Amino acid sequence: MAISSFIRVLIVASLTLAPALLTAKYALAGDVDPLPSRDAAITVNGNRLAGPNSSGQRRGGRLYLPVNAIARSLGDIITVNAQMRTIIVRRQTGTTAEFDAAREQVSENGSVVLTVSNTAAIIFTLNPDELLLPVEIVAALLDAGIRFDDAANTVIITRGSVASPIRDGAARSFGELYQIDYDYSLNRYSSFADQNLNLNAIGRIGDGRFMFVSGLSGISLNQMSLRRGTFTFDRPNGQRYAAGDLGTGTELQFLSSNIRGGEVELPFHNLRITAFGGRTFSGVYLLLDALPGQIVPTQSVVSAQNRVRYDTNIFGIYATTNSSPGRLLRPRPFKFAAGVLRFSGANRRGDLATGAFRYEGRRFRIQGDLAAGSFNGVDRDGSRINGNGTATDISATYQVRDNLSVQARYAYIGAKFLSPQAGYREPVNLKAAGISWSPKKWLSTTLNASTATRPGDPTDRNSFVTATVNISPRPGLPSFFISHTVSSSKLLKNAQFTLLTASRDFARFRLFANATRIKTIGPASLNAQFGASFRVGEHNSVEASQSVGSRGAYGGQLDWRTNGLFAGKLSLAAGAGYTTNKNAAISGFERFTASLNLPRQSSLQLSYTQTNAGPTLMLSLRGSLFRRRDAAVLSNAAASDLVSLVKVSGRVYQDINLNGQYDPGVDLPQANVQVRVDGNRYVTTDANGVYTIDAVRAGDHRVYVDLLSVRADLTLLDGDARNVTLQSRRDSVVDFRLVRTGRISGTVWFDANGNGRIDDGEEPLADIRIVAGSGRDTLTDANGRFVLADLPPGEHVILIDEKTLPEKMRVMSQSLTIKVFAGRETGETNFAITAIPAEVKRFGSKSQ
Amino acid sequence: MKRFYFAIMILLFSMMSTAAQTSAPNQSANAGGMALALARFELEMKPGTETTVVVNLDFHSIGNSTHPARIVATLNDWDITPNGQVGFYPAATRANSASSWLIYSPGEAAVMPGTVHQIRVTVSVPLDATPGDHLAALIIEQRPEQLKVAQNTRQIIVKYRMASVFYIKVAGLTRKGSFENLLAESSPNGIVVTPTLKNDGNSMIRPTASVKVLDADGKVVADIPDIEPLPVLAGTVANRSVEIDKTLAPGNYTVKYRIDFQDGHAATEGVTDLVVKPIVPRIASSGTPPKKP
Repeated sequence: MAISSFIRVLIVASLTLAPALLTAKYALAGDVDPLPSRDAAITVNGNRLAGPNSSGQRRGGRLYLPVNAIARSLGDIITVNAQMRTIIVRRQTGTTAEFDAAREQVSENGSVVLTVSNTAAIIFTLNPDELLLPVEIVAALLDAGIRFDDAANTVIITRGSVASPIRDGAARSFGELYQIDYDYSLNRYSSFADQNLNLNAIGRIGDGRFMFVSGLSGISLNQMSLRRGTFTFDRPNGQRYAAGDLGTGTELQFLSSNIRGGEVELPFHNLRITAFGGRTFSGVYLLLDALPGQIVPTQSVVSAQNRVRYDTNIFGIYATTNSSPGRLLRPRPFKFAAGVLRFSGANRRGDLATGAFRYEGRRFRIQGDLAAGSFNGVDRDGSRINGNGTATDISATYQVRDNLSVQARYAYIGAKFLSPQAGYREPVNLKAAGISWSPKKWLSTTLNASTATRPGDPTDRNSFVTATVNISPRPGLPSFFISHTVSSSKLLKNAQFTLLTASRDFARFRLFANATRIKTIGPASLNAQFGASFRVGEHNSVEASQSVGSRGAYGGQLDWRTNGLFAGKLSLAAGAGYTTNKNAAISGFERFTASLNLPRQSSLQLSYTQTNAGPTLMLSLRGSLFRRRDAAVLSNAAASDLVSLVKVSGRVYQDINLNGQYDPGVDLPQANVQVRVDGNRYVTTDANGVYTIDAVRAGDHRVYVDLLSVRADLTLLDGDARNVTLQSRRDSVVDFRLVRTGRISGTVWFDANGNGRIDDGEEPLADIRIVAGSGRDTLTDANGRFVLADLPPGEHVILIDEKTLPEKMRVMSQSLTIKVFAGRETGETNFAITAIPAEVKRFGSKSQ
Repeated sequence: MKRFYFAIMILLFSMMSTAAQTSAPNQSANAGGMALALARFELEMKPGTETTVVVNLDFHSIGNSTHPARIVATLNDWDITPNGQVGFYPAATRANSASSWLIYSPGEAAVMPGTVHQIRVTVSVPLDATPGDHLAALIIEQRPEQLKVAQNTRQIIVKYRMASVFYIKVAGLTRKGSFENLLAESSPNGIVVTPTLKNDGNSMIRPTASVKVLDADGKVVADIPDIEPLPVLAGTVANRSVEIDKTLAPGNYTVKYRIDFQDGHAATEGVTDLVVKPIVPRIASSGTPPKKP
């Protein structure tokens, strides 16, 4: 049982009062204020009762409340039997409470929780809505906390978390900008320089998210030209539009091209239809009128090599199954795609149809692409091709065991098959296989082999076999990595590359060694490097290494790094080294790097290197020109969530004048208070007491203040939680009002002569429990003194738990209504305890 | 009078000293199934600033007891005496008291076994606060709640007090440790080494130390490599003994006590002589042989 629940039970149990609560003439509370003569408004869990029978009334010093309306507002079912003078309440929790006026008690599931007196004064009206009960009976019957706010003349009733109306915040506009990022670099070499500037923006237009990516380059800022630019727009229904520089055919390998144009993706049931069109660059810089097989480099070809020429029209359309976002909760293992492509340019043209399948099982994955078409143009050798060609590419991975997997790939490209783009985009024949095995946690091995040939030329073959072993034992032991590759190509028949690295970490330093053996043409060359890095303090490190190689090659370098300058914002690195071999004199190099973290997620990096080839200066500046606080969430959220992610903000303040609203200059904003939403996320208020919780999904949420982060003498007057219903496209404002608590103090004593005053010789009573209706209770000390602390301002009903009274004693006063002031102690709240008088029996005298 | 009511109030302050001595801030003071965490707060603050921390009272369930316990929180001043005893004093009665800077809530509560009860403590450093350490302690005391229920029976009420101690470190801290004296003597149970340490700064020092006993040949015959003595509070002198549980043969020894005050200065080593005298056998006063046990 949580403490709060226990306290609630304790309160109810403590309300088991004396059978006779006498009149208030025995109450000696100096600060006891009379209850208001006018009717008091009632709020239940933050909602004000309205209509007839919705206010509290004072009768003879007691506060009476309309129990029927309050119970209904709490969601309880109430049954009033005026004839039997009983009330039965079935609470939302399932508990049944009963008030029996004849027995003068309130019971809960059959157990008596409160004994009351003067129930004869309670009028059971014929209309149950008009029935008014004393506040202490209502509290016990409904298991609710009841407090009277004097300033607002309102009876505040709470049970469970408070549901409070919230204010509407700003509505979302048609478009929003989430962030603008930039990345600028300047590279200056000894003979030339170049600069690059990338600008990216993400935002929302209507219900969709747009993203703009651009890249400019040039030899100076005022000579920069747009190198690439892409605009994409994603809608919640899965539609996607893109324009600018695009990569196509992510689902179909033989449709992949870099184009400058547009692309549209449309979901259609379980299919996604994608169409694209524009121009691409063939990458072939030959003139078609040259003789077949003859390469004719011209001035235009040479100049074209330095810039991209979009010389080929391209259009394609394809359909993909099992890919409509949001429609499938669990992706199916099979996926199919099929499409057609037409490209037409000065160097290449063709029409092709292609299809692909993909299967992703738990252990087995396979993907295959098939294509066939008619082509006309210049192949990679400059030869003219005219005819039909086919191509296929199949790859598979099988996870034999958790630590063992095998991979294979086979690609066949027909001699007359052309892709829209030459160069790295051009497919090749390939046979490849590999195996990965980790027999131990600290040992993993791989073996891969492949053979690639150019379509139509089986003699142009590139083959390689690579084996690796990685040993990574527990920390403190050395780690090793060994790699050996044997390759063969048309020009280099038998080449071998061997790499060995070893390292070992100690507490403050690390030793490492690298060795390579390269065998290409002539004798193999060997090189070995060994070194160490040391950590000096928390932020500094030094690394030194020396290398020795064949043919008299030597080299060494020393580097120092620090990252602790200016509170970790500045990092510096500097180093120097030398190289030499038997054919060259010693040459040195120096390098220096500085990295500075700037505001707005920006960083500046400066790197300078001086070598034999001359100086090189590199400068990089990247960061955000604009970034909303919730940019990261909104940029990565599903497009369907964009309009439903709204903002909750508000202020946490101390209500100095207790008027229920924030008054600048009067009320005190509370900084560093944690405000949570649904228990997981929290934010901290700023110096103005303002908090903002970004990107909260529309719907029902619980927003609450973590009271543990609030000043110890402050409490929340209206409950610490708000149940809010957030609407899409609109922010919400939820304020939290804190008030300074006060205390009630007093004395409980044995009023021997029953005069209601503490006279000399009258003894204080220790260990008597005092209970406040708001939930606090305390025991009197050896001097009969008690202090009920942490009470919010307002009027509180306090009682004595008569179970804690000595035997045969009773309390003279019934419940006292005491006014508590913020930051003050209301003293002299005294309870007089008297002995229960002996029963007097009068007997008649015997007649003589 | 027919009532037989005996209440024996046993105040266990042992956990208070535990709380003050604890070296790791995540340790807790505990007693009677209750534990306080953190047992020690070291808050570096500037004048005019305020912070709120939480003291967690973990009420372990003892057996199957589901009976709640009533706890009462109060503030005290505290210090550490030269011989290492933690002393508690009424709030705001010591020169370096921070009790008046602390407010807490709730001051009293009933806690259920198996739950963690949280007490907010807000520290507000006044603008005119002097630099250095200011001390206060939040005392948690358990109150009996059911005396009346079991009246007419004999009762033993065991009350516990636990403390969470606060070091409020106001900016402008100085730590000046000095090694004033070193005494070593042999005892029937071993060797007792008593250094005298002094802190002339305004902030406490938590030194680390080691002690070695060397014989006439310079060979280490006894040592304690890592001692973490109690903190030396600002402006105080501490002479707390370290006992080495080893009985040495009669002879002359050298005791070396090395201490690092962690105040930015080099470690200091104190050296003193130790003479272990032969034990003179006690001669029985009567001629009767001692009885066998």
